Amino acid sequence: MAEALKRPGGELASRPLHFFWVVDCSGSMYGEKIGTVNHAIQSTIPEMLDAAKDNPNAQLLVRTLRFSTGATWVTPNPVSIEDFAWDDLDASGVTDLGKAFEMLAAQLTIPPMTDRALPPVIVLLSDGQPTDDYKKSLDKLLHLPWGKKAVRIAISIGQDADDDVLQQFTGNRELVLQANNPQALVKMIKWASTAASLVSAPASRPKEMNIIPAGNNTPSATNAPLVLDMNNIPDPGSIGANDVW
Amino acid sequence: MKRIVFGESVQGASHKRVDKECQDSFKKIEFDDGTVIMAIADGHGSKSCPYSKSGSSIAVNVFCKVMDEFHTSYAENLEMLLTYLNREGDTKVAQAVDAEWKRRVLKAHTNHKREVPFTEDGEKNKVEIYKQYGSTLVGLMITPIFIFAFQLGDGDISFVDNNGFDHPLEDEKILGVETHSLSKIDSWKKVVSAVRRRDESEGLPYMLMLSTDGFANSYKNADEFQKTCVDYFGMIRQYGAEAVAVNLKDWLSETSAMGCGDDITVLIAYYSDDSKLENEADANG
Repeated sequence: MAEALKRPGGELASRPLHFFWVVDCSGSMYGEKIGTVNHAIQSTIPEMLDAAKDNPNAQLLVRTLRFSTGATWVTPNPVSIEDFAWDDLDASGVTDLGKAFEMLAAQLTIPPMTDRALPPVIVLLSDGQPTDDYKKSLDKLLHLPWGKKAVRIAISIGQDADDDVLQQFTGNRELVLQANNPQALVKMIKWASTAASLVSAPASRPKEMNIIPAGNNTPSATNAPLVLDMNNIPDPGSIGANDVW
Repeated sequence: MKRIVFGESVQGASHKRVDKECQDSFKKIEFDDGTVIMAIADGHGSKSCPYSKSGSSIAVNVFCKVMDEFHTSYAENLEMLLTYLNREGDTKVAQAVDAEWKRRVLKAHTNHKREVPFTEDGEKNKVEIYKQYGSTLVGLMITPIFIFAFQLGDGDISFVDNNGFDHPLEDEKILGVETHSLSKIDSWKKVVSAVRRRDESEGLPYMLMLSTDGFANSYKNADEFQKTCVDYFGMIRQYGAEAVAVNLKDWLSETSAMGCGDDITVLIAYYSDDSKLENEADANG
């Protein structure tokens, strides 16, 4: 009988999956909105942890970026979901979304990203209009190889959120989730958190041509619609419709 | 000189968890003149590609058939074949593979009486049918005087000898989970190919390895992957190709489980000096 030999080779590793919570902490988020965000994101951690355990071949790494007057990494380095803890955010200041895009872009370059990572997931939550020049840094973000490939979801909080800006970020209107009350915000945050489990066990697929409409130099969301099942996005109209921010 | 060609495909760990079949395929043909044709293919496996196992199987068969025909046509003059493949590898050869894959896919779809999608004009929607069989294709033709490498989509072609690791051909690296595919119209335009003149008995021993992307993606980085290829070569030298072949399936299953979870296929052609191989076998009892 043939000898059983020990497997040769270099160091094996699951594929990293970077998940970013990008949270608007401007003054208009003060009170119930930021409180709901804190509670809802905190409550997604056990489910994300369970989903990660179901797929040991992906390493789910989570980070939080807050923006108001300027932007700051709440989690300076990627943290494994097993070790991730949510630090409650407070709200004050203006809405420097451009700064947030700039800091995200710095983290989506290679390095620190690797080319064997799974497509990153970015969930942006905002209730207002950018107060800085966001276009240049958004453009830079969306032209990075991993910026293009990222699954980009936005949660539009309340009536005053600028959905056009959020759509420029997601590249897809359907991925701008409407949260006009606390119940809807909780549901949308939970739905967005499930993107990690969908991206973590991907099947390969043919490369599609990126078709960019004339006059629009923003890359389309090439990955997100194919990775996510957008049919199960909660219907905002059916969630506490009488309770509107 | 002695040549041994062997390989394995294993179902990925993440595919096992959801009971999804292995969508990789591989095939090899060895000729009396010493020529080897070998190919691997990785079916896409996404929901929109339900027959990608058939697609990958068709892909490796088509590559071997097309290259077999070239080999037969030029058997008496491999120099001419070298020149032809150098000039037309990523054009006429690629076109022949592309066209034959699509022809066979349509035939398989009809033979299996699978649902036929239609365009708005009521025509058979061939594009949608091809998509259901999506696959990559990576192949080699190794003759006594040259090596021809062919690649459409992800996967790796690796060469290892006593001097270390080399990539005879590198495809465009696409981030994420997308890849170039035979299923696309004019897929041949994405083929990359290369011809290297090489006397097969020169620089023995050496190894040529084809692997699907599940193999490289299971390693921490490119350096670890290259180290792995060198280690496999070292194992063959130390224990003999037969011992490695026997263990290969378990190794690849373990690699997938501890790595990216994808299906993995590895196909190896190992060339060595006869006398040295015997010595190695003797040394290993």
